[in-house]
Amino acid sequence: MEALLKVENISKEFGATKALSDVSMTVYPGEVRGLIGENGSGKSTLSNIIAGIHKMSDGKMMFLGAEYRPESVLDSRKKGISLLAQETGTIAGMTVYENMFLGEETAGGKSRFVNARRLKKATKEILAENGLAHIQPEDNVERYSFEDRKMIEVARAVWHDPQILIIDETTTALSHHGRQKIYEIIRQMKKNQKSVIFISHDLDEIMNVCDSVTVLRDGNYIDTLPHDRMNKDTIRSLMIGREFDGRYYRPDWVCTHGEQVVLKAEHIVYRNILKDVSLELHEGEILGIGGLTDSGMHELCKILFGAIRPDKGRVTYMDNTEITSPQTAMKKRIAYIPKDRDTESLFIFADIKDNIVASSYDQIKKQGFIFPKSEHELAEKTAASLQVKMRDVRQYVGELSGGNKQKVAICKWLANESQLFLMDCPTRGIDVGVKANIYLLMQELKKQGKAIIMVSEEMTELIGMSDRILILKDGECSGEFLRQDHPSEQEVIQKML
Amino acid sequence: MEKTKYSFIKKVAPYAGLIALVIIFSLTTDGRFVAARNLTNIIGQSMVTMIAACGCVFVMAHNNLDFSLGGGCALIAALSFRATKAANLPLMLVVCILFGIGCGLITALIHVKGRIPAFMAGMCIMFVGRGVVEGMATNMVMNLPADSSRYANNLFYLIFLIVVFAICVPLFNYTKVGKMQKLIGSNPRAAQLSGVAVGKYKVIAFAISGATLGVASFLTMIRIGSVTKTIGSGLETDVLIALTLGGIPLTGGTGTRIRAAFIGSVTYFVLGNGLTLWGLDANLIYIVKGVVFLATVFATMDRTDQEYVL
Repeated sequence: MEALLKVENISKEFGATKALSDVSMTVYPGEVRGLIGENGSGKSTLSNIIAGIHKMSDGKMMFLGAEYRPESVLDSRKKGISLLAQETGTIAGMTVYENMFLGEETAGGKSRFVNARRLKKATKEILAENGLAHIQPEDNVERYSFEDRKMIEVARAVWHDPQILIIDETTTALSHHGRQKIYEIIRQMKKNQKSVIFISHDLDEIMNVCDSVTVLRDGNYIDTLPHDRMNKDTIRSLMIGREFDGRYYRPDWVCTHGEQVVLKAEHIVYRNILKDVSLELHEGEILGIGGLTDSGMHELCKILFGAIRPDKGRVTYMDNTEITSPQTAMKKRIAYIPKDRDTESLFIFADIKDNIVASSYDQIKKQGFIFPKSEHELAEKTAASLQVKMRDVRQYVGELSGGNKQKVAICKWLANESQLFLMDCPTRGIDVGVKANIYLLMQELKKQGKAIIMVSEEMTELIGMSDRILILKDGECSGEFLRQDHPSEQEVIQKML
Repeated sequence: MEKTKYSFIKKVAPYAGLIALVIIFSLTTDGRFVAARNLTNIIGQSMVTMIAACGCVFVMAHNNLDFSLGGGCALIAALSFRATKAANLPLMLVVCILFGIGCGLITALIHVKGRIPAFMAGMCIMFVGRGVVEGMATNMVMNLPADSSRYANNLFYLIFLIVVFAICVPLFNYTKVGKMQKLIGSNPRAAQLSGVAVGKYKVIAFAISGATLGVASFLTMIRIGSVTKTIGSGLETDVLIALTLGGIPLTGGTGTRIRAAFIGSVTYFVLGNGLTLWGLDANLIYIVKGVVFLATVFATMDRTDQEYVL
């Protein structure tokens, strides 16, 4: 059969980071291809290149028998490839119809001027066709829920009648109804001999929806499995590169921690993101917080560190000090490792030394002065303790790999001897080796009686590491699991959706 | 490897530029450039800019521009003259520094509390300063006492320069005040989430810049002998161009070096002086300065990180 899309030896670098190396993939008409891999394996990079968001550094693509080099999202859409992005792809502050025809306001019309009336009418028709008649074209998209906004995007993508539709982890955030809608669209596309590239974390979903699945790991192509060879264990071991035995997590299944409550959050309310969340963290406890990305758990983590002021409620340290700013949190030796490493955690254009000592100046200053020698000693000592792979501490952090960057980010808080760690997705987008290092470190910190809150989107990691798991859903606590009860992934996911 | 090579070039470029200019002007001006009187003249001119630039480094390190310098200099001069009648010069110096810090604090508070870009707050000081001085200078003559002219010499300026540098250099390189500016300039978000009190340290930077501006304003008055309508005009651009020629990263951050204030000011005045000796028209010199500034920015500005949508 003639290939619809051929991706040949594609590579992509972001600065010093290699996001994809030498990846090839062929998609045939009428095929639903799954794309799977751990965070940071390159799935989104690959789909973004196909959809024209990123440009490949090296390689070639063939689409419908001709060379394919999309200049932009609009260009690829025109050529017949549409993308449903992972995050929201509508622009807040604009109306539904403006979003629907974004970048193509004059398409189909005779004039070069934008004819709002025509666009509104067309939008209304498109929405109605997709069973979204309750959405008004003139309304600001902000008025609608995440799910409705996502469905507007879906309608927009389908309206362009693409040859290939890329669905990048869209379904995880949708309700049952929304998911069914997308599955229906996939079935339609298949029937019309069109193709879908389907990205999801959910193995069950991949098994149900896809005809074949391509596995990526650390930016490398691993294998493509046809439907008859797809089974969960094979896929999982291909994803992590060895037999899955769960051994890099904690070996024990008992809940062990001290009695002392070290951090307490009471009735936290923040915009419409968090509705009355309370929690207690004990010494020597690893408290996992799970949920969907928009469940409010990332914001909760920032609130615990004092970086966001909640509208109501308070966060207190064990000596009853209220945490109102990152400075008060730091005085109590609280550490915060943000989810977004490059923009919130690191000083990319500074060297490793400056990054590591950034929170420790108070510890190393002598009579108010900070001497380069003490900076170097502290940075070297801390980097060595976590085995950061580097030339020396004067190397720019931007040159390091994702895993080593994360080590530097953690070093910043080991250097000032933090006692309480707030980790937001600490293993996001890093390779398995560094992941194992971080899990070991967490167990080490726990042994020393230090408390850890780990916000995570990965079920296995939450279950594998936490003494206790809190699940947030739509800004509320929807479930709690104890380690000794040995919760299953299914049980936990059910509380999230 | 790349980094070491690149940072080496960045390190020597300002010196190389200065040396190249000195050689070119020495060879092409029949010895007029290297004449002792001319050189002392250049140094004398550059010292005031150097002092103002020294404090301004703190502001630029955290990725802000201080546009208040020129108007601020005028405002400080006029107000301190009004307050002390120039009767007691040491007292006037102290008043200048206090008003300078005041100017810096106003700029910083508008920026931090009002969440308005600092350069806009600075421009507001600039306009106010110009307005106040022009108004006052039309209504009265503001001459310093005649005997103050004996201080208008390079040695006197040099003492101030040494004191300012002796305070600013360690403050910038070896204390939290300087370190924090550089972290904020590198990534304000990460700085905040690393426990840096971003607002507080920005305010401190503007206060330091204001203090050195106060000193610069005082020395300018001594040099001119009075408070004129045009006092301090163009200081903000002089300082900005000087720092850029001195190799300061325009977006601040950990690559910021305080030596930029020193080397850059000299380069800037060497350039202006040499072009004048060439007999270039004064207006043309502005154009050349503009081109040199743009070329420096073009060569030094780090654009790899920013995604320009054009």
